[in-house]
Amino acid sequence: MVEQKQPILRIEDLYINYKVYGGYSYVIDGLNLNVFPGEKIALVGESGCGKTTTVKSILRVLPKQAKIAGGSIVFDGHDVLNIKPNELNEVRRRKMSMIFQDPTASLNPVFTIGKQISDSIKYSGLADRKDKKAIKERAIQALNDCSMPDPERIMGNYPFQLSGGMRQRVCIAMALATASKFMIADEPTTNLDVTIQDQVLKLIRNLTDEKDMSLILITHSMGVARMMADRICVMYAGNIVENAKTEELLEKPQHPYTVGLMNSIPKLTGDSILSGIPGRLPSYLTPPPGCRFSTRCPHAFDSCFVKKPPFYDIGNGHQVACYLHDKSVPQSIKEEAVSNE
Amino acid sequence: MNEMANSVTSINSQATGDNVLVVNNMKKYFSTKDKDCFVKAIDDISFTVRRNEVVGLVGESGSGKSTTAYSIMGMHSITSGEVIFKGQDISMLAIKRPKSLKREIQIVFQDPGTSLNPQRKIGEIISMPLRVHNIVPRSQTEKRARELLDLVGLPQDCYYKSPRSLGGGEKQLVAIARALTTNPSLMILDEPTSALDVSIQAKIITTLMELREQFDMSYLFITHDMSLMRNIADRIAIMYLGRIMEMAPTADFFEKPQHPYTKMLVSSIPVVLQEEEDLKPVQVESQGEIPSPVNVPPGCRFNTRCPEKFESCLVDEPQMVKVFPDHYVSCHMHDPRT
Repeated sequence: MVEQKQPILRIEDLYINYKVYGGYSYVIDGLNLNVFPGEKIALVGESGCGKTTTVKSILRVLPKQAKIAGGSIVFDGHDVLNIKPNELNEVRRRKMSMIFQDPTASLNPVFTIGKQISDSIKYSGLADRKDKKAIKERAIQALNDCSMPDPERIMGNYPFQLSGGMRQRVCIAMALATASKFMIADEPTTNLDVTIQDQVLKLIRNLTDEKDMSLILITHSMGVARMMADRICVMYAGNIVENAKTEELLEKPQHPYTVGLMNSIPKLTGDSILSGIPGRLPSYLTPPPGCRFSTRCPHAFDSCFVKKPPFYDIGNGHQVACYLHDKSVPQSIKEEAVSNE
Repeated sequence: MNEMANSVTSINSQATGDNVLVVNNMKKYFSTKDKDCFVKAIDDISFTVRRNEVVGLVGESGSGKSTTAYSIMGMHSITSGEVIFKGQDISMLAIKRPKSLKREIQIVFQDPGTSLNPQRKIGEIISMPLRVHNIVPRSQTEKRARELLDLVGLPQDCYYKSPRSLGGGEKQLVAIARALTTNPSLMILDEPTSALDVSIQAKIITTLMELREQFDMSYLFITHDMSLMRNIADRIAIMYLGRIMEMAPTADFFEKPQHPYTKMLVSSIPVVLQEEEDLKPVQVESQGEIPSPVNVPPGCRFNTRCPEKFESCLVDEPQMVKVFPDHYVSCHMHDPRT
């Protein structure tokens, strides 16, 4: 039902390189991603796998040394990579919003909360710039929506007077005040305690559901992804390796990396021996030519080291980038690979 | 009344030879600019660590977990109470402890990036405590250091590397190897894996558990990851605002949590499988935030967030009560007086 709509965001074959001392870091490696209106997606992966780089490229806020080497990003009819700067600003302030990982760093310490929220409303063009009263009402409304106690008082506070959870609520209020239809949340709860995390996640979920917003949630925790997302995309070393509906991905992971990741997560059922994944992320300066997971994969065979695997559709919208799902690969190799485990 | 008095004291009554560490009524207050105000980081806690046992100390940030660890290590002087290690009183600062005692308790810190000297080679980092404590003859130092690298599963060429050339997981293994040099019988692990990715965390945890078996060590494991504790701890103690709220054997702890805070905490863990979801207690809506340890609420310190509070919670501080064998709760609902 969702699939028939046009995606609000379409990323095709995205390549991003970073200029570093001694050459280029080939970070994002041909990434494809579609987000449909109202859909909640979780990008899951370990540190350094390119999650943040990917979403930063959507907002065009990559650092100077990053270069988009190929591909296209189309957001709501706008070609984000070839757009005039003032048009880009227009898109950014009316249609997108982002919540960052560290609320302390993303709020300005020398302005009051009220000033900062009012500004974002003022420049989004949602209220008349001169109508201070309307702007203030909207700001208070935004704080109220985020279940902040006593919003009038909070408006006059500085960020340092609030706790971490409160600050993150302010950031969410700011992101939602502009009533955009697309939101990116970059590890919004990593710095918070689990009870506060629970509150903040439920808040994001409820508010985005209410406004029928699309959400890209970046996280490294499968548990958080399960709470929030309709669909989970697992990233490894600059590419999405598996993409499936939340339930299906967690119950039946197919890519060896996803399987390894699931086996490393301590479970509440208890007494399981955690296996982990040997080795570490390959260097982006000289990435392996074939599948980037081949250096750590327990199932790797010849073709894995030669060419990057394409996406194989295994039904029900479940896509896996792994040669084990290629029909032309002989059964014997697959069985051998599995028995090596 | 008598029965209650029994149950309160019995927390540490099994002070037999089996107890490696006994902490009795420990308090640690930090002074502030205002002379009448104190940060009550630890406010009267008692617990034991038995031989070859993993005790998980869980809590939110600001609940006093790390202060507890540092006080046991002797990095802070405690305000009152006593810490007893194998029958010896060690309630003094580390600087005053005999060297033989320092050897017995070791600590692994949270961030391996800052706890290893960036100007030293890994080999030097591991050899240093060997020389200071005269663990092996000088001529054997390098051989022993290399053995320790082997023990934690690091390759031999690490010996000449500097910490910056290692990944986060490998650095943490070096920190563990360094803690092992003195053959400690108690190791304090202060969130050793919370800065690491899960696939790397698994390796560290397996290594730690193997080492415990091999060297007959006890661990005091400080963490905020409850699912991890479910898998490795023998007993779990939950801290809130400087107090232990509930302490129980792991299985008990998750199957029949008694304290409202425990229920709230367990039900807010994000889990990945439906089977895990079924194990969680009935959803307790988490509300509020941890108050400042300077102004601890009167009565039960959890009363600002507790969904089940009643009058006495606002007035009296609840006592630790035994509800099941080895299972203690500090809550008025289980207090026989109420």
